[in-house]
Amino acid sequence: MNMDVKAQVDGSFFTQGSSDRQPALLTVNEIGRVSVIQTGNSRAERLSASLLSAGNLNELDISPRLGNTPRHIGFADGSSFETSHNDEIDKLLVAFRQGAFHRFIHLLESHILIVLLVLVLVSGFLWGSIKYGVPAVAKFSAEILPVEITQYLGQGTLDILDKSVFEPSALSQQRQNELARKFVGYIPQYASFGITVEFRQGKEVGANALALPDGKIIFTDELVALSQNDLELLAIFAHEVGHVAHRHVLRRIIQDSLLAVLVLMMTGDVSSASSIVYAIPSLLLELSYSREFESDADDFAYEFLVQNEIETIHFANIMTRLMESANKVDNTNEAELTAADHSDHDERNGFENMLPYLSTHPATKKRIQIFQKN
Amino acid sequence: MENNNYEIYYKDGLKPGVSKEEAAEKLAQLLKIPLPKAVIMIESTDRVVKSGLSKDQAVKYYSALSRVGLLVKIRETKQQEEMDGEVTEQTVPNLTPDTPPVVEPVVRKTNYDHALDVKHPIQLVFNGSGFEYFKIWIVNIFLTILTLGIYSAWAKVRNKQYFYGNTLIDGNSFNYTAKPIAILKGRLIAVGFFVVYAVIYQFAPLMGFILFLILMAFLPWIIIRSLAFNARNSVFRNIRFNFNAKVGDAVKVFLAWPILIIPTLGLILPLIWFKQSQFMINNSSYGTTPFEFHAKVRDYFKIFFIFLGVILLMGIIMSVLVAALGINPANPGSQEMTMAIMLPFSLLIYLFMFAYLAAKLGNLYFNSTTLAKHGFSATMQIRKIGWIYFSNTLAIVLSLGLLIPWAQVRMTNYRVSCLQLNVVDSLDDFIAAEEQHVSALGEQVGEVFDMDVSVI
Repeated sequence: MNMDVKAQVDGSFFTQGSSDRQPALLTVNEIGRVSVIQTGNSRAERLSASLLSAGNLNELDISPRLGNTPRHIGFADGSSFETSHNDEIDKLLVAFRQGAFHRFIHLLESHILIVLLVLVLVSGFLWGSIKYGVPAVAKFSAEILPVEITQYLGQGTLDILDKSVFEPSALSQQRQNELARKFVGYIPQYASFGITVEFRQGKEVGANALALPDGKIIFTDELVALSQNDLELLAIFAHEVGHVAHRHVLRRIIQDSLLAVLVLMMTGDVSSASSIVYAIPSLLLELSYSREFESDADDFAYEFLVQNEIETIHFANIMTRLMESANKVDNTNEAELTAADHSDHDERNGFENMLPYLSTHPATKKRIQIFQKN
Repeated sequence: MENNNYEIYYKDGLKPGVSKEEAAEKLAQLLKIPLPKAVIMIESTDRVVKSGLSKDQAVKYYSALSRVGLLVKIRETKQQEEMDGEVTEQTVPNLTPDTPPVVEPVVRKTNYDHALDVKHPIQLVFNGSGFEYFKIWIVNIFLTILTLGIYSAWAKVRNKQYFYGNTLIDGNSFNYTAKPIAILKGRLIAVGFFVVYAVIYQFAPLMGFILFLILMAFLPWIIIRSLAFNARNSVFRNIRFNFNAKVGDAVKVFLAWPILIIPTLGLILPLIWFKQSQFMINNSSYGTTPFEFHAKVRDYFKIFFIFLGVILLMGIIMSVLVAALGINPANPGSQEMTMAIMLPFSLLIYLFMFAYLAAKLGNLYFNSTTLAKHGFSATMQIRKIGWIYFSNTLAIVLSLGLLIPWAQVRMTNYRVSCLQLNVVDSLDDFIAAEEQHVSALGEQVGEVFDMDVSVI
């Protein structure tokens, strides 16, 4: 019997099926035979020592190295040896070429330079996915899904709006038909989206237009009243068609879901802090996604106007007027908050599909400027 | 300094499940005496087998004899005058192979009943560090991304094991033995469910809702499986924990009772807290030894009413302040002023709500739990929990999530530092239960649908 000791560590021994703890010594010899003996024995007496358990190193269940947590070594007979001498156990595993996978993982986790590299890579990945990855995946998925799917999404939304906030339009049926026919006439190429035009009294919503995923584009009477010619309304119509044609609602839904998965995957269980840590980043990111969609719809409107040889200044004009009427209200100290005041606050007005025209951030001015340079 | 007044009292025979033959064999081996003699010794119950020991020696003897299967107790010997009874010859048990057996005239049969169980509180220790855990945590995230989520099963086991392995009682740590492959399989199945659910919900909300109801119906089963999986994969001193509950009980506690929350305007909450804690603890065991829950419903109601009282008070103070400063909420101009007062107050109230319940309910949970003769003492404080929670949230938000591992370690460290195990005699005599296999599916389904079962 080979008596040369390769390694020797002390620890606690537990017999099979028992929590009874004995101080013990674990020895491994050169051929990988592991024995656990009761402590207190001098080397000379080891032959007659009380052997608690034994096994071959490659048959034992050795817990992976994790920081400096104690190592648990399980024997075939169900007994267990617990020791805090991680480095010795690691040296042993290296010598007998075992546990390579977990040793590698521990290596990654302990070298500070590797950790820094990992940190940079993870941050980069996160930023990349949020800025580009998630929107790209959403765009791709939305486009390969059939148009009918977006139709499903919009069903019923208008009914809800009608029940909660809208009232039937005060415009004459003739005027409504005239505008509708005129606008839809410009977009035969988007017929498959089922785009129709409807009018409502906006009430608290005020001067606004919105596009539902099933193709319905709603103008409020207040917006029509604010306009000075039909081309201005046409420009806004183009913007709304942009939302529908580029499937923004579906993309937004997919993006929000992917974002939620991403945030959850990164943060995991954060019961040590408030769930605000989920909410804040999600909210900020969704707002930024919203602005992207708005720009995209603006670009679509711009292209449309240029192609149809309509002056882009019309879009700028109606936007300016909307902004001014909102600011006018902002400056008063009077009680009644008007619709325009509402519309230039937080974009998430409670209705999934409301795309308010104004926001008080400087982006509005920039948007107007784009349409003014002509 | 050494108090040599301890003795080992053998009264009740053998431990349940230990046969006389087994015990006799082991005892014969231990004492190096012939088997028949060992049998006689085992049969002669209700006597002191060794006296004149120090506390440490007594614990050692106790362990050795317990290991053999004898039900022994450590007692403090009273004055000699009080003792009477026969003197018998007794062999001292051999604790190490080296010591030659010594025969001593020993043991008087005593006539007093009370046994002094030697109590010693053990402070639980948490050795984790935020920085060390950060390294593990970030590498886990990296590998999870790299493997498109496959590594997440290994990551989960490692993350959990970090907290298990760094929690020590008297020098021994906990061990999380779940196999990542099992978790991975469960996760893949669960993700499949989730995708089907999400798709159905988007395009046929009614179907989605029905699916949701079906899921709710399975919820109690999922909870039980999840708790069982985690319990059976938690090991301490070579004994597994266990969790066994009837689905019916889970239905009552997680579905039936909570339905009454709204009709009773929340007043039934303390009863629900009680029932859920009771459910968790009474169905848990350590090896063959069950945990026992000793709290009363009124303990929970007391906490609840104080809780309501403080919130009410804070609400009143807030309104008084708003009124006192002459602010009229109906006047839009003063909206900012109102917000300026209400916001910090609301945050304070929210923080208090969380910290109060976490501390009080958490302490009650542990203080009411016993395992055989052992018990727990928990001493978490409201303001400390509140402060840690608040600063953790701030740190996480400001660090864009990088300080999450540090926050988790910090909270765990505090909670463990407030926990003591009141050990009586020793922790040596627990016995393992039969091995039971639980698949990871229940647990993983729970995770995907965001059902983390937490009662404290």
